[in-house]
Amino acid sequence: MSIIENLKKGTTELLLLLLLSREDMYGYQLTQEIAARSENLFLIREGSMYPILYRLMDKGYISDRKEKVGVRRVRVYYHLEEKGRKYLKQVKSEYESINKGISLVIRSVE
Amino acid sequence: MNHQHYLDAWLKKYYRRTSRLLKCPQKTRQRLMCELQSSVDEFLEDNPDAAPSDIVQHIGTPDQIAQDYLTSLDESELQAQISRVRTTRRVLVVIAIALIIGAVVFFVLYNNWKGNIYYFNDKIVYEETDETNND
Repeated sequence: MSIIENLKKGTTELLLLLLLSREDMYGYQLTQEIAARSENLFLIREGSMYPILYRLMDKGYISDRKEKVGVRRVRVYYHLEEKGRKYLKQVKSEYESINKGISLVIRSVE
Repeated sequence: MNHQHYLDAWLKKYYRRTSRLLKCPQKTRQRLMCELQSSVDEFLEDNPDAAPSDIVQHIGTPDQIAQDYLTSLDESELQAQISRVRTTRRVLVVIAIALIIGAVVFFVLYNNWKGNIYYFNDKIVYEETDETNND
C-alpha cells in the first residue's frame, strides 16, 4: 500500500466525522462533499468509505436512518451521536498533533 | 438497444460481479450492495448521459470495490474475517471427508450385501406317492 493510501486510510474516518458534525449526510453526498471541499485532492471511493461508516456505527459514534426518495430509491442518512462528537474531538486533536510533528520534522531537514 | 437498456444490462452484471467478489458477511454484503446501488442511482441522476466507464471511474471496478473494502478494515475486523474464512474452509473439509468416508462405507457395505446373496440351483423333485390307494 502506498504512503498516500495509508494516509488516506488513517484520515478518512476524521473527514467523515467532521462532515457529519455539520449535518446528517448520505453516502454519495459524503464522497461528493469531500471531493469538492478538498478541490478533488482527496477522493474517497465508496468501497472504502462504507466499512468505516459501519465500524463507526458499531461503536455507537454514528447512527443511520433510511429515507425514501422518489419511487424506489432509499437514502441512508448518517448522524453523528454525542459519543461520536467526543471521539471526533479526540481524533482531531491527535491528527493535529501528529500533523504538527511531521511538519516540524519536514521543516527541520529542508 | 438504446442507452438505458444497455446501461441496465451492464449494471446488472456490474452488481452481480461486485457482490460475488465482496468477502464479507452476508448481512454486510447486502447492506453495502444496497448503498452502492443507491450511490449509482444518485450519480446517474447527476449525470444522466453517463456511460459505464464514468460509473467505474466514480465508484470503481468490482475488483477495486472488493479490494477497497478489505483494505479499509481495521486489524481486528481483518482477523475476524480471516478466522471466518478458516472456519468455513474447515467445515467444508470436514464435510468433504465425511462424504468420502460415507461413500467408501456405502460401497463396502453394498459389495458385501451383494456377495451375500445366494442363488439356489437345487432341484426340487416331487415324488408322487400313491396315498389315495393306501386309504
